[in-house]
Amino acid sequence: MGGNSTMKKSIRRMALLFLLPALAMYLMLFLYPAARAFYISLFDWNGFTSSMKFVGLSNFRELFGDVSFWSVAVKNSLMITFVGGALVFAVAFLLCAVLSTEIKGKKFFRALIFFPSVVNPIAIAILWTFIYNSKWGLLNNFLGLFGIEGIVWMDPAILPWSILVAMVWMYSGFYCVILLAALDRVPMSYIEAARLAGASEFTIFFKIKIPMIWDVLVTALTLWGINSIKEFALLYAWGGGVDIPPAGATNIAVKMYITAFGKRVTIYRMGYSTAMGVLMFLSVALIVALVAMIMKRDKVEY
Amino acid sequence: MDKQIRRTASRIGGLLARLFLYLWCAFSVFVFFWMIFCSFKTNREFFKDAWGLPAAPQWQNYMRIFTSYDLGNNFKNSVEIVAISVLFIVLISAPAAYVLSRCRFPGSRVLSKVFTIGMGVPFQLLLIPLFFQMYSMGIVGSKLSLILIYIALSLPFTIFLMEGFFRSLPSVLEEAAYIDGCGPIRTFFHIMLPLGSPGLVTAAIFNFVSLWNEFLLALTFINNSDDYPLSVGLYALQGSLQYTGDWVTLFAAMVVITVPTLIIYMVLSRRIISGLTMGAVKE
Amino acid sequence: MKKVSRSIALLLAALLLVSVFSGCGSSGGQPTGAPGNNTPPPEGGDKPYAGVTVEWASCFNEAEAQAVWMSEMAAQWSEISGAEVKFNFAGRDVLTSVKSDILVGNAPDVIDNDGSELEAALMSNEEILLEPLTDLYDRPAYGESTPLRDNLNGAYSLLSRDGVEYIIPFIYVTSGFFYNKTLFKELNLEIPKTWDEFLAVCDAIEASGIPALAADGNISFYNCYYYQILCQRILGSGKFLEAALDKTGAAWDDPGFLKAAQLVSQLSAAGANYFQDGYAGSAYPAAQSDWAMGGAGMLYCGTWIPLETSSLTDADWEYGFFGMPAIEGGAGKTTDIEAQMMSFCVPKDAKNKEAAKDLLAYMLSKKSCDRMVELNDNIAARTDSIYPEALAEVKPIIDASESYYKNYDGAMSAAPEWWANVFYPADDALFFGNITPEEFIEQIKSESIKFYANK
Repeated sequence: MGGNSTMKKSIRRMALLFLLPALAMYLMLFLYPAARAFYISLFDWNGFTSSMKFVGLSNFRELFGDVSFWSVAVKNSLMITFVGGALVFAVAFLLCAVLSTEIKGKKFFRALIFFPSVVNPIAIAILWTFIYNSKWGLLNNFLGLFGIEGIVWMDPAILPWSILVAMVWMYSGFYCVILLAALDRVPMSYIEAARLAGASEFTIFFKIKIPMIWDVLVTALTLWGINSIKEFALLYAWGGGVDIPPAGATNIAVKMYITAFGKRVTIYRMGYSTAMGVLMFLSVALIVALVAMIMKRDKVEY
Repeated sequence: MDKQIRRTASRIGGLLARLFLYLWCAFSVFVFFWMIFCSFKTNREFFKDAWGLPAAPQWQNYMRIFTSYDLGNNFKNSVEIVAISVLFIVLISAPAAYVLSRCRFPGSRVLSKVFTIGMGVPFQLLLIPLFFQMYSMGIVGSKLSLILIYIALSLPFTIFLMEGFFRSLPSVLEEAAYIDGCGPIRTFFHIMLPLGSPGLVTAAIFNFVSLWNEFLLALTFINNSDDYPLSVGLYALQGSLQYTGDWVTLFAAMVVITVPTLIIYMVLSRRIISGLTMGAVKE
Repeated sequence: MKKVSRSIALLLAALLLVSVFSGCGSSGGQPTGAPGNNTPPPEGGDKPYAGVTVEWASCFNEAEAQAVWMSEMAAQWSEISGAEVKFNFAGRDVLTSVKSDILVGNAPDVIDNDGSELEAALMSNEEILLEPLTDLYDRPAYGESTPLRDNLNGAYSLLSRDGVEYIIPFIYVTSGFFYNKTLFKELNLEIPKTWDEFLAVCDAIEASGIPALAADGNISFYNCYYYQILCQRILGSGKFLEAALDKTGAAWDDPGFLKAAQLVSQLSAAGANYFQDGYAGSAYPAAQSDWAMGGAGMLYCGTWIPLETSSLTDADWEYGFFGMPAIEGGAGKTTDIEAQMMSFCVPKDAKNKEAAKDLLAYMLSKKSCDRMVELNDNIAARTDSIYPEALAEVKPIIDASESYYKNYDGAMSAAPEWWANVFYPADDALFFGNITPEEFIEQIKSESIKFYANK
């Protein structure tokens, strides 16, 4: 009995010892600054001097009336998350449907479609501006081989869509492989049984496989929700980084960075930018909740 | 009859889907080779004919990256920053995850939740507060500040991932060790940690890949061009090459950036893929 | 599997060791071996700044010609002064990088960047974070006897505050139309003096089979040159800045602003469409590269363009230049010249201010500036410096100048948020031909009112 309690004691001691570094780090450099963000968003601060001016909620008041924030940055962020999400998952499903059947070179294809997710996003931004270049770019020259006149892929009117395509190329492999990994765990017996009952591969995929990996799908969607809102590097580097990114490449994260640190245009508003960060945090929370809610209801249907 | 149509339709659909996969992959391969070809051209060759082969391979495009620009140094910085960060991330997360997954004590569940919540916080929220914090610690702008931030921001996901690993280990082993008179700390280091090492590797790979490509924090927290990691270095390089209209060298830079990644990826692709996707599948 | 994990662990450990020995952790905000504050040069000493390290944050990237020049001159000065110069070639985002250094009181000794950007960032109304450079202006440069001030292009006064200079320019930039003289000779074209002549030149170039103008539409601060300069020609300088700062939006009712918009519209896709196809979606530097290879007739840009394009041009290419033609009845004179100045400054909290100023006095000597021109085809801020051959046609224009105005009329730095959020979207839409001149005025006016009301 006595041995047991010393054991318990030493386990407690270990727990403390093991948790302390992580907890200290997390508290100091994660939770505290996160809380601090709400505080900083109440100030006017240019970041060059330590003097901060308390302005109350006026950063938020301004943010809600900030036309360019809502009509450009928020719009693009929403587009990336929802339209981009739909495209990414549509492609991921399609690729995944093929790859989950017995196909030759499965591993090779899997590795190939996944590769863009380990490439530096700055390189991807540069690469796609070259692909889209109207005169010397890959795309228009390729179309030219067939006598098709290319279009201006980076025209401001369609730029957000062109960027979305690059993002779909960049990300769908990742989500496809997540789904694939889950599909590999679906017991073959279910599938064999369905096959014997005469179900088509299409039916098997959507009626049997997908419901069985529902949890993973929810996680993947949540992951997309969080990551897509955070998207920065590809957009910031889009088109060369000489000027502020064009409207089509400005989402909340980019807008936030420019508002705080300027980029050729000398805006240095740390407090206002943090207010955008607070809003971003709230929208991520909302998206996560949304995914959880929608997917839950669907799950009941099955 | 109806069944037959359905079957044909399904077969055509399958064929189309397969075609889509082939095209998708062909495109990626094609882009990669195009990039390599362009990197060996002269600027004039690049502009004159998109499909022409370089008359003579322009190795100086590659030379320029390492002589005029400091991509080599950026590479070294990346290795340094990322390796140290990953090492500490694993060192700090593994014990914490172990305790959180296998010891019950008042508040342990709450604590575990508190770490998990961090995964949903976009780090942009922390950007300016962290800037301020690093300022008050007197290290803003240094590699050290970036490393600290990388470690802190990677904790939630890494702990979450490792908790899953440790939870899946049989508790019989622990009990046996205790009965043999092994203290809990020794048990962790001698028995549980080696057993959980695949989880450690997975976490290390995941963090390595994502920090290697990280841009925003590096851009914000590294001041001196001597300290730039690869992503910021490439961004700066892109800027200066454009100012001199030197497009082909930019292609060479992209090749230099992607090829090592590709080689490592080819060797370790199975591990990298499982490392990056494990968190989602394991739950 | 075990093997892999072990080798990865080994690799990590090795890397850690390497990094510890290479002293990664110590690269923090510590100043490197700076001596006492602002020690004046010891009298008669051979090397007055021996032991001092001057830290320099630059807006250029390491391989750019300007950076090469700076490094070369700094090395020469080091020989004389005994000090060391440590560069941080941070690129165009230099102010972001130095911001935190200034904040922690570890300001670099010299910062170079566009003068207006320096002014906007470091000379706010509440606090000036820069050291006055009056004594530098009043001393002669190395090896010279006249005060530096007398040898500089007079535009420097645009950057002074209450008569005190905090910023000193080294490169002078103005903007205008660049063209290939050989092309103009072939087509028998003269430099246009009026707007109508300019349109005629455009037509003639179009008739020869290439677009008259080139533009990289993704650079808004290039696109807005047209509207900006036309406003100056029509209304005179200063009016645009007033309108930019006007909270009521009433200033935009001045018919001059509409007139300028109409002229831009004439050139745009909504009018004669003189630009290359798809210019709105052209990503820098595609169009300017194409122009340099003969793909278009003219390019409106700053005088840095020869530097950026000369490696692409044909053998028979010759750079020509002319300013935006005068507009009939306009209040702005063609002798009132746009000035953008790449400049140096010394932060107030710098540790080696005197050494820094001495270094600048070396950098700004005629000999040094001539070397800069040799290396990078830009115009020196020193009036007695040589001119790059490619910019020979700019010289008479600058020499004939009677007054100067800040690039973009100073509005970019005076109202940066308005500039990025209100002006750029409206101007791009006008420049791409998406809206009419009337819609442009309507948009900029209503958006300005909304913008200021929301502050």
